[in-house]
Parts: sequence; structure tokens; C-alpha cells
Amino acid sequence: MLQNTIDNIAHNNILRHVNPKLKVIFAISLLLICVFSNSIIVPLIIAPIMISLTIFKAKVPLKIYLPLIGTPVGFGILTIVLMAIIYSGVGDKLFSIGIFGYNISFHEYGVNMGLLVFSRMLGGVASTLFLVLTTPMTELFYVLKELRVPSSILDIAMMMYRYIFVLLDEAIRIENAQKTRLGYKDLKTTYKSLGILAANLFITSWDRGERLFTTMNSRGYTGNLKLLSKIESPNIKYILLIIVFDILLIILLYLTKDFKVF
Amino acid sequence: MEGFLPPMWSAIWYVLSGIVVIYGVIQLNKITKEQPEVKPLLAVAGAFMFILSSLKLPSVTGSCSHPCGNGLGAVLFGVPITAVLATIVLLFQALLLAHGGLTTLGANIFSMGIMGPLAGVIVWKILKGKINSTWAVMLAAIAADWITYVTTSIQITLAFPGNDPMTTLTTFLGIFAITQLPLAIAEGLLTALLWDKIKELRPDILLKLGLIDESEVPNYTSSLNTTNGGAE
Repeated sequence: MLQNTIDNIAHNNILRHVNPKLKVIFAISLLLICVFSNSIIVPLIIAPIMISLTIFKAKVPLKIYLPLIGTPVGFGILTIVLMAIIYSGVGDKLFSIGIFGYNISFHEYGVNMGLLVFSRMLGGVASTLFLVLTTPMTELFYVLKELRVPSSILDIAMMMYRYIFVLLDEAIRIENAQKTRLGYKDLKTTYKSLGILAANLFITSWDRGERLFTTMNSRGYTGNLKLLSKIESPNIKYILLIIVFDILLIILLYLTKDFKVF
Repeated sequence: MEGFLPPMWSAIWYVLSGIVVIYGVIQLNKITKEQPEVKPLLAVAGAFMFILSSLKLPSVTGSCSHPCGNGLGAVLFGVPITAVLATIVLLFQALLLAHGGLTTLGANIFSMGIMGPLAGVIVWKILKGKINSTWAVMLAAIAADWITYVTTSIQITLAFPGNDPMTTLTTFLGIFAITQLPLAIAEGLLTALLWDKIKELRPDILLKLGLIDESEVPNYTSSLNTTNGGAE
């Protein structure tokens, strides 16, 4: 399944051993710059940088990367049409197309807005994908801990991360068992099978939760999990490099803030 | 989807959701002190929510990932705790599935973790004890799912009001609320089947949480009495 692949890639890529703090700072700062951008130029510079870093530096297989980056592209085209509809009649009319008897006319303001949102999404998704495809969750937990995320949230998140895979295996096993017994053969049985699957999974998870408490209790659990090791801070040289790069982009952001395609 | 909302609205939804989530965390800490077994149980329940949301059909629009299970979560644990769980589930969806996104996390928590569960709990509280609990849960799940999408359309309208906010709102409500209605009913059906099976196999879980009355599971209660009698 998909979550398995992203998790696998995060553990097996060339940039896996780069300091996680560095990757978080880099990806999140570029993500924020993308979102704050008022023109399409800066996000469209960030997107190819992030995409090529993920594909060529981290060597993420294209077969996995393309569907993930394809989602914002498809959704972005939809957004342009949507913006053209809700902002119709503002600015000069550019062109119009007829779909299903409706005539959608594309006006300046709406198209510009749509393109801006499209570029922000592309840059943003490329930045986030870079982070999630190169950094394993376990390392992100340490970063979150240093960001002072409440420990109860973090405890639950860590245990949840472990149990997602346990339950996923269970779910796949139940599904295969149901399929060999003529489950999912039409709509009615699909619903019945899914209901049984979900109920059994719920009961299993409940029992596992209680058992987890027993096992943790026997190892001295008092209500808090302790993370012992720390991740070291990245080399100051790299942080400075990222800051310089960010400042350059912010200056470019300021210079191009009035740029419009149409 | 990442980057869809303008920065101002991202921040507003982060703040609004943050208040509720922090309240949930405070409540959670209070409960954990008295009953430390709650935390592992919630973690596994959250993992269950995550699996459930990846089981179902993908949503038509893709702007928000599947809210499956927020109605059930709200009925089981109440709104503030569900908000905390939804926060983590949504974070995992952004990081493990690349669904949703980090900048839109606040908005998604607000619609899926707060407004939806709130609607579910209200429906559940009104109907509890009046009709069979399976029907009540089904209606609560439908309400939670549907209100989640109504909230989403309002959020998008606020971010992109268009020429005339009212027409925009009706457009988005048309896209989201109407296409989501059959999916909400599907989720309701699934939740009802699930609930029915749990009631049949492990009614003790539901009795322990005080969600159903003993009179609803006569077989279980009577079997309990006979085993007790036998032991004496």
C-alpha cells in the first residue's frame, strides 16, 4: 500500500543520513516562502529545485514520485477552472470554452488567481514531498520533541505510528481471507465484508491497546514515554547556506510581487 | 492540498483549531493521571482511524482527505479528545500518504476534527436512549461526515470569496455537500455495520464506556449472570 512505500523510501534513500533538522528547516522554510508568494515566479523556481533534489539527489524512484507529484498538477488545473468560475467577469476576457452546454469564460483576475494557487500548490507539495520522502517518521518525532510539542500528543503519535503497520497487516490478512471466501463480490457483499473487517479490526485494536498497556506497565510505565537519545545539531555552515538561499528567494519574492501572467 | 489556502487563512484556522486541541491535551493529561491505560488505548484507536480512512474510496475533489471514522471517534471519546486524535491522524496522512498538507492542517483539523465530531456528538446525544444505538450511531456518523464537508466549503468560500460570496458558497456547497452526501450515507452504513458487530461480539467495550444500556444486549447480560451463578 501507499503508506508503506513512502515509509520505505524514507528509510532507503541517498539523503537518509543527512541531519533531519537540516532537512526540516530547508523544506519548511521553502514551503512557507511558497505559500507567502504573491506571484507565480518564486514557487515555480522552488518546485523544480525540490523535484530534482528528490529525484536526482535522493534517488527516489520515478514510479513512486510521479503519481505523488501528479496530484497537485491535476488538482491545480481544476482550481484554475474553479477560480475562473467564481471570479468571472473581473478584468478582460481572455477566452472561453464550452463544456456540457455551459460556457465558461476565463477572465484575467480569475486565471491569475488560479495560476497563483496552482504554483503555490506545486511548490508546496514538492517541498513537503522532499521532506517526507527523505526523512523517516522516527527522526521527525525527535524534531517535534525539540519543538516542544506536548508530550502526550507525541506519545500517542509514536505508539500510533507503530500500530498503523501492525493493524495494516491485520487488515490485509482479513481482506485476503474474506476474498477467498467470496467476500467483495458485489456491492452488497462489499459493504458486509467491509463492515466485518472494520468491526474485527476495531476489536483487535482494542484488545491490543489493553495488552500494550499491560506490557508497558510491567516495564515501569507511569503515563509518560521517555525519548532518551538526542539528534545532534547540524553544521552551522549548512544552516547559513540555507538562510542565504532563503533570503535570496525572499528578495526575489519582493521584486516579482507585481508580476502577472495576463 | 498543500498551499491551497492563503497564508492568512492558514494561520486563522491553525489558531482556532489550536485552542480546541490544547484544551483536549489538557483534558487528556488529566485523564492519563487517573487512568494511565487511556493513552495506549487512544493510540491504537487512532491507528484504527487511520487504517479506516485509507480503506475507503478516494474523495472526488481531493482537497480534504477522508474523514472516515470521526463520527465514531466522537461518540466513543468526545469532541476534545477526538480533535487531538484527528490532529495526529491528519499529520500522519500528510507525512505518510501525502494527503492534505502541513499548511492546510489547521483548516483540516477544524473541519474534520472539531466541527464534524461536534455534529456527530450532538446527534448522538439527542438520539441516545430514544432509538436503537446502531441507528443513532449511523445518523451521528452521517452528520459528522456531512458537516465536515459543509465546513470545508465554508472555509474555501472564506478564503476565495469570488465576486459574490453567496453564489460562491452555493457553488462550493453544490460541489462538496451534494457529492459528499452519498459518501456520508455510505460511511453511516459502514459505521452501523461495525457497531452492530461490536455489539454482537464484544458488548463489554461499549458497556464499559457507558455508550449502550444493558437492556440492549440481553444475551450478553444474561450469560454474564449465569456464569457468575455457576461460579458461586
